Amino acid sequence: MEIRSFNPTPLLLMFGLAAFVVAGLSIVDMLQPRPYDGVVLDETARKGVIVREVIPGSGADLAGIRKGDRILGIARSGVHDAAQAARRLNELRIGDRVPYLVATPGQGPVDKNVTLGRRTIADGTYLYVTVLGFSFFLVGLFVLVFQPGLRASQVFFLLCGLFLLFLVCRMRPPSYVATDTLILGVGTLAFLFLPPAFLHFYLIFPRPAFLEKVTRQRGKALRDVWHYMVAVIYLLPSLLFAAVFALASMRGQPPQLVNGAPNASWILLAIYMLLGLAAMGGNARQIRDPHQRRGVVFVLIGSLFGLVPFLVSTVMLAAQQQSQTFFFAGIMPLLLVPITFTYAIVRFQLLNIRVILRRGFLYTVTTALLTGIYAGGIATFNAFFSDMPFVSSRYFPIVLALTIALLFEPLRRRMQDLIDRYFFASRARMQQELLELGSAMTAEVDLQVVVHELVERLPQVLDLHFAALYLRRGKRLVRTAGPESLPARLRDVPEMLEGLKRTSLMRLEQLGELVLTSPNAPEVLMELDEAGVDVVGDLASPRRHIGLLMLSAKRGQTSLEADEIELLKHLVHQVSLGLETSLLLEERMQQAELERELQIAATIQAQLLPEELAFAEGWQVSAVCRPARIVGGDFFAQLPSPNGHSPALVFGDVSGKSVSGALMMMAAHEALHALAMTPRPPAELFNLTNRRLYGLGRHSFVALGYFCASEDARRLCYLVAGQPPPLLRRVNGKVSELPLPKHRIPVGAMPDGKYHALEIEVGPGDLVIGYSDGITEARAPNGEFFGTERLFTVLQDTTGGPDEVIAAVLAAVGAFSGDSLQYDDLTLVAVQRTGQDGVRKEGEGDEGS
Amino acid sequence: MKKILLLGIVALILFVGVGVLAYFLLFDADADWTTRSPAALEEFELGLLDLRRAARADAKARFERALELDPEFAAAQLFLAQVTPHRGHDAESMVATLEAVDLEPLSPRERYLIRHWIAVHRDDSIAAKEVIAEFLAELPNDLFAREAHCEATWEEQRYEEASTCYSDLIESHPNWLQGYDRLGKLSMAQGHFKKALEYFETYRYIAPDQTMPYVSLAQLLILVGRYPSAEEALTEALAIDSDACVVRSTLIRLYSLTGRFDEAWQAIDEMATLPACMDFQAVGAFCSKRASILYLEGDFDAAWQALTEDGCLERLSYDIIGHRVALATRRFEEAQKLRQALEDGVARAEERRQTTYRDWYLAALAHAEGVQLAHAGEHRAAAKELRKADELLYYWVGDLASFKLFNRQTLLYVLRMQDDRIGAARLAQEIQDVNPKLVREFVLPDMEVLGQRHAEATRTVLMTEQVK
Repeated sequence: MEIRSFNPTPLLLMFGLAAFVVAGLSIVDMLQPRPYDGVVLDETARKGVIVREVIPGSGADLAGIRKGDRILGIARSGVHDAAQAARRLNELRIGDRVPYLVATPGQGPVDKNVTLGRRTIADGTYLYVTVLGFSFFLVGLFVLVFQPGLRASQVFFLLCGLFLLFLVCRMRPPSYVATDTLILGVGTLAFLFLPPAFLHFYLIFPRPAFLEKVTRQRGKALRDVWHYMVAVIYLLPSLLFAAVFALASMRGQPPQLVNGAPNASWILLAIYMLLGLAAMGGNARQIRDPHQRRGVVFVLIGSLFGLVPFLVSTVMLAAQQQSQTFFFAGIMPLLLVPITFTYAIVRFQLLNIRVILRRGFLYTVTTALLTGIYAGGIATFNAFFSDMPFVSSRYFPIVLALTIALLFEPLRRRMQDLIDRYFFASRARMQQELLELGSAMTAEVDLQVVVHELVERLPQVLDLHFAALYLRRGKRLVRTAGPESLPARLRDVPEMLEGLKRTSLMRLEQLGELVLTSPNAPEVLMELDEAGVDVVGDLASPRRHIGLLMLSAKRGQTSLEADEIELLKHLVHQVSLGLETSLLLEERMQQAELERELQIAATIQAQLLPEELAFAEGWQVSAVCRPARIVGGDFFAQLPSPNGHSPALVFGDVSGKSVSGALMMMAAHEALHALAMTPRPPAELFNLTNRRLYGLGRHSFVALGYFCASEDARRLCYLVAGQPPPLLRRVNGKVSELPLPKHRIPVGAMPDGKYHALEIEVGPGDLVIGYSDGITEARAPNGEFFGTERLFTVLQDTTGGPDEVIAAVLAAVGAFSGDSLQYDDLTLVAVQRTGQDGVRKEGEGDEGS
Repeated sequence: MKKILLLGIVALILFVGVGVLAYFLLFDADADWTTRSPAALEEFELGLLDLRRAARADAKARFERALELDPEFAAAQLFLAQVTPHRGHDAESMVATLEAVDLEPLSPRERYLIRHWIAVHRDDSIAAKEVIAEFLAELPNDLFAREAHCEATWEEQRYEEASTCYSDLIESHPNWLQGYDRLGKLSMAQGHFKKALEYFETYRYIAPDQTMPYVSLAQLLILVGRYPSAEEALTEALAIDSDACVVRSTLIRLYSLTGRFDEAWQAIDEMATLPACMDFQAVGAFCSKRASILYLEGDFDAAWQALTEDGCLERLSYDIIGHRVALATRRFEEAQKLRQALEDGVARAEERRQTTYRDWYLAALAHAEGVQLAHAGEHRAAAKELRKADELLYYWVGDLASFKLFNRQTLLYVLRMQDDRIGAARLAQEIQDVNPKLVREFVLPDMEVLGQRHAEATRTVLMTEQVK
């Protein structure tokens, strides 16, 4: 059998419900209007029904019953004690005219007719006892609800339920109705189990530290007998109670009773309570955590001041004097016990109970309390001074109202100050620190410092369990700092972010109330809730969303108040600014680093372009490559001759720009050079290069153009793969596009190249230019493309060799683009047959050509 | 396992506690009567209530009705027997009926009550005491057991114990009328007349529609000399029940003591015509009362004649007046027979262990001896006997209450004849403390005669001595 699976909490709750019902029954019974003769009986009289007081104007007063009289009979029934008198009265009806038999001192018995009035049995003392009982019960219920699995909580609830029954059902005046026996019987049962529950609880509260120490010292033996000890503790009062009555029965004498219970039982109660207090003192000494220890000591002091007067007046004095004169004096301080428990639980988180108390709530309670005190004060004043002449003055109510109005507000403020001091002690300091923190973060540019301040200092200032920071990395929110219990990454919940954007700070529960359609929303909220997140702040600058700030609940008794939330919102804005600044700085530094590296790359890339170009004899050649960025994807290069005579010229345009384009360009450049080391036909070179680049698997490709001269240097061999068709300007100025091969897709785009080269007869003076699409796709400020026609025109209009043509084209493109940024890399290659063999021309180009 | 064991024990205790509580709440211990008929039980319990109110006639009707509804209802049979006067064959028959009851299926209370009643009616006081002792041992809190115990202590003249017993009983059953009556009488017996007045007033207050409280109250008032109040109480009692013999009997005594002999004769004549008072006739009450009146009137011969008519003396178990009248008329042999009858009574009471009766007989005997010695002129011895009687007597109700005062009054005469002036003055004061009017207004005719004779004899002696 798995013993640990047994959970007594449902049973305890049933017990609590029953206790609540019986206590309610008792109160209802006490509040019932009942017939009353106006006689106050001497409860301390051992024998007879002695009149202690007669209420003026009551039925008894009008009938002539006086103080000191002895009532022998009520309504034709003999009465011998106050209980019988009360019981007999209960059998009558309000308004009845009832014959009393009264013995006046010095005279014989006389019949007197008393008209019965009305009253309720519940007096001020009982109402106080009721409030006391329910205070215990509510504290117990509160503890059980918060910590249902904790043994100390369970025993505490039992104890509080027994206190309720003991106070409400046992410490009540008897009503002598049918339910009276049941209620008093239940009260007696509670009285028998109250002391053991008390001792049991104080032995294990807040944890059985003292017992653990003793167990360590005494070993296993004590641990083994512990359960039997508990059984004995619980059984002893009942056995003693039964034994006292049995002994009394054997002796033929009634036992000596105090408040309806044997003296011995009260003494045992006192012993149990003193032992319990001693045990708690022992526990307090064993607790290492000073915070918790302070709480336990506080409860101990409250229990001492609450219980000792109770024991002295209700047990010792009552037993000694056989009277209940000091009953109320003893019962009154008992309220300290639930009050100190409540305060200790709230303030020191005893039994691991975390309570959120709103300041507004405390203020309201205080104001209500104060109003009650004033009302009580006025009632008392009226009771004492109602006969004074000034009370009947018409100015008196005005003066009284003014006095109250003048005194009320200062006292209320003072009370609120006290609350602030005891419940919100670090409030002012916290506000100041929050402001300082906000200012410091705004000025801070170091991201690490900002993060540190947020997750380390902010929890200290606000007395939070933790603070965590999620920063946006692309589409994800990544935990940058904070406890491991929080998810490392947060899934995107757009509605949540939208909601946050409006208020910048929200409680998690408020977020849960938003209409969240995102499928991730419930899971994300649950994760955050389980991790203990209480408040979520949105960190955003005008230009972007930065991240989220997660705050836990407070460590202690208070929640984040409205003004604290406002302060936090302000702080969130400041943090956002600080973070934005820090991030910008960081990004700028990264960019600078990148740019520096790009510059190096550009230099390297520029060095790849040949400083001098050579072509076949009788040809002039010129080329230029102008990257749109620091590094580009266009290039031109001189390759070894495919036929062993004259070098070839290749020009390319890589898909992609900047670094990726540059890297591809490097790969294409190196592949072409490496493969061209072995003389091979251009088509084969392109096919091999295609295979090489395709094999890189980056799905990038290179548009290539290839010029070489025939062996006799009269024809131009060319190959185009993805580049625009080269233009031929005849010596007569006629410009035309060179025919294009059938297969001309860019190199590296497809697994098989199937390239083949074409040849064209080039006469002396004829000029051929190859170019990248950056030329024709250069844009004017209005978005218009430069286009092929303009290129044709420039070629037609330009006389001169390759240099002049390239310069003219570049100038035309520059003029066309105006102030527009260069969108694409520009590459131009021009070759012209001069008719003289072995003509060489130095390659040109700006910016690294 | 230990935890479950612990919880189990606690739950068991709670369960038992609640069970015990429920038992006391749901089951009335007084309902411990054996009958199959709920209607019979209801009638029977109403009968008990009537009995507590001393409404014997109503109670009898209830018990009869209960028996009609359940002829085997033994408790109803028993209480019917208690409220029905039985004599001779009827009594034997009733005892036999109850002896035939099978006690086995009955409740312990019923068994004890029946056994006790049978023992009492068999004049077996020892057995009756044993039954009560057993009853009380088994059911110490049972009202009927406690009542029987109180009655036993009362009859044994353990007055303080009886007072405590009855006080406890009326504290738990404040409307138990017999308790008030008994406590009033016990208080009287101990000379606590104010207390007695309180008890009788409470008795009257609780049962204002019954005659007995007024009678008890009147007897006390007569004892203490508050004759108008006593007459008032008796008048109220007569207004309730004009046929109540005990009321009339007490009224006759009041008239006799206050010298209103004409009213006393008228009252006794009226009483004699009432059919309800035939029981009084049967026990010789009428002739005794007539003799008392005649004695107080000083007509001793007529008094003796009244006592000897219709065998009256034989019907009286003891009669102090008869003895005094016999002595006053110099019927010494008859007086001796009457003293012998008292001695027989002592022996009989001792045989039956009836201490109360024994003491009464002893007191009456001492008184008779004292009077006889006084007649013989042996005043010192007479005073001794009369003091002995005084010690045995209490201020009891009825004639016996007066008997103590009557005896003291006689002693006062004897002391005066003895010329013990200090003793006489002290005794006179004691009598006055009880009844201030008695010494001044009440005269014992036979003692007056004796006193006169003694005075004459003393004067003769003195004159003879002077002549000598």
